[in-house]
Amino acid sequence: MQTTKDAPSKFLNGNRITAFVILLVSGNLLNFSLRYGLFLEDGAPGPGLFPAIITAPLVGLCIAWLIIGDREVPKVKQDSDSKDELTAELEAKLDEIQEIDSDGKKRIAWVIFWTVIMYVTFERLGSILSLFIYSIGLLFTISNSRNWKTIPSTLLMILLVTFGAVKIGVMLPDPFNIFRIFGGQ
Amino acid sequence: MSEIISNLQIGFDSVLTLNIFMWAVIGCGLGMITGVLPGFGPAAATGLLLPFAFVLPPTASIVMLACIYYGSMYGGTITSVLLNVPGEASSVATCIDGYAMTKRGMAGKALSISAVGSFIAGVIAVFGLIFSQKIAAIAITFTYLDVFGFSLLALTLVVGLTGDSMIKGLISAFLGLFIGMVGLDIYTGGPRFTMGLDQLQEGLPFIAIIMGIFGLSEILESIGGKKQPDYSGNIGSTLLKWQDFKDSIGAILRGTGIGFFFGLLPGSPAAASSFAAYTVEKRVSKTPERFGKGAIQGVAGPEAANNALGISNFIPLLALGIPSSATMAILLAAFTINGLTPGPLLFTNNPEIAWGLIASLALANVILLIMALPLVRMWVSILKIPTMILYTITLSFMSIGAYIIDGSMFSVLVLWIAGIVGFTLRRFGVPMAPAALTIVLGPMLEKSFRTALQVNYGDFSSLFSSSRANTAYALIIVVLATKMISSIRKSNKVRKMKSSAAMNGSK
Repeated sequence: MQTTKDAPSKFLNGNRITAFVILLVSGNLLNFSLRYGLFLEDGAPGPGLFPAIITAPLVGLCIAWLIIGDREVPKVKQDSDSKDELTAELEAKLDEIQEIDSDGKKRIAWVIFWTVIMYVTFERLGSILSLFIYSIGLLFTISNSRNWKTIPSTLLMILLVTFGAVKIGVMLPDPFNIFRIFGGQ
Repeated sequence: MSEIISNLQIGFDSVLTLNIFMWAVIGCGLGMITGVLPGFGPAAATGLLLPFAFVLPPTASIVMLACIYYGSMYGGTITSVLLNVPGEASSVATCIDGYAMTKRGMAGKALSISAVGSFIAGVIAVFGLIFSQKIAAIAITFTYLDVFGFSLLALTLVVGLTGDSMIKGLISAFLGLFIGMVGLDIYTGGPRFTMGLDQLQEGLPFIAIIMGIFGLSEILESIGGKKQPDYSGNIGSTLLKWQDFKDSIGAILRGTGIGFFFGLLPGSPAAASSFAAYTVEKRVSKTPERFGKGAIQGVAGPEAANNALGISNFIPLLALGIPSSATMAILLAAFTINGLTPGPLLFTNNPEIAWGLIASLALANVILLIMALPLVRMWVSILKIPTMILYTITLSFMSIGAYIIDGSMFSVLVLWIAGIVGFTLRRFGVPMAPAALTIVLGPMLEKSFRTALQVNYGDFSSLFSSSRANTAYALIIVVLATKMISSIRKSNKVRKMKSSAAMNGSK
């Protein structure tokens, strides 16, 4: 057995930061739980008892993650002599964490930013217009679609979905009464 | 026997109406589509489409979600065979010989045998599922304390068996439990952890959270990923010869038995059953050297195991009301949305739902066999659409799905926060299955825990007054001890590896 490489420092830092953030949150929640009261006057369990039972070990686990986290090795490759080659392949496939490069990170950041825009416009412009803008924005950026047919087909898709939604009684925002065309709302 | 037949008749009567049948077909189709999306497992598929439970009548929504789950298991095989990309962990074993068959120009045959194997396994497993009513009859005598003990056991099994790190599994479970605590206290009615927000008084919208941690986080991971697989080859003939069937039937039956057994154990990883089926096939084969090079039994066995597990997974949910996997937790959520409580009383109070679900799974087997065999080329054509376009469409649908939960943007916001948190945690190896389970089980655990204490005036020793609950606690200790020992052994192995690597480096 041999390690392919040592755990990258970025992974370790990320591990520590994540553990630390959860530790802060869980510490705060434990504080709140204690304030809600562990027991009522008649000795019955209070509203804070069960949350305290949950958050106290969570604090401990986060501390353990902070300490043990840096001893972890993300990927271990098995030698063919110690393990069946097929089994090793199966295990490697299960453990696989998809690598995200800087382009991938940019794509994710763009999706999140563009969703914020959709979030702001969804009720103001209505579901049809905002989802149309949202989908077109994603198609032209992350999908790299340069085909003009993308625009009418996206619009058609959004209209079909909203038509279906209206027909089964889903209420979606529609400030410009576009749904009236479909006989809805 | 006559009782079972009459109960099945109730089920088929409620499912074989045009309306429900149509939703079953739509569910199977949607499941196949989501299953075909690379990297998308059944939990993500059912999580994404859970909002349907809000807009459909109870039977229709439960049947549809069960069909989505089952359909996504079928669909997941397509990417395993054609692209060597498992749609879910349980399809990993199928990749080995399925993809080898594709490389030899026999993709159609691999897809056909997996569909036939899944069908046979599914039909046999549905017969096993019928007996969940018998288990439910025992479970009906469970007290609050027993429910607490067994819920805790299910939780421990899921945490103990998911992922490599027990610490991370437990963190995921406790975070999920906490999410279930937000809102008004069940006994005093006072707000807890609501941060003064009115929207949180009824608790966090757990549907949006489940959609986020499973569906959205997987989409974000795929969007960020380097390689976007698509398939442009020809699948070849999908016709099976009699010899192929003869070669595979033993593997299918063995796989069914293995999968069914694994599905009964809460928390048993789906991949374990297909791994076991694959290993058994290789062991019993007279030509084990053909495995890994396109042996048809290497596809038939794991696929049968996978589908039998998919059905027997319903037994703990239907009989005890305890979900045994993340997907079952999502289905439990669908029951809750419709005001139903799965468990021992479901067969008595809502027989049309309980038996309708069983009948719908039998029906789904037939629908999916028809969809998977003659229409296989249609599903494969989905793989020719660039995945980014599919993700764009899915993201748009998700927003609508989250919006209809409570008709406000709050659920959309929760969906995205959960998605980003889930994505981040998964990157650092925190498994999400325990969280999904505890989000749904949390309120039930708290209720049974507090009720048990309340009737005994806060006396903690009363938690140990039931023999059934004590058995559950004992099993919890065994599971935790086993996991701890294996973790210690693993870390010792890694330490040895490191020191030997350092010694080699210094030489």
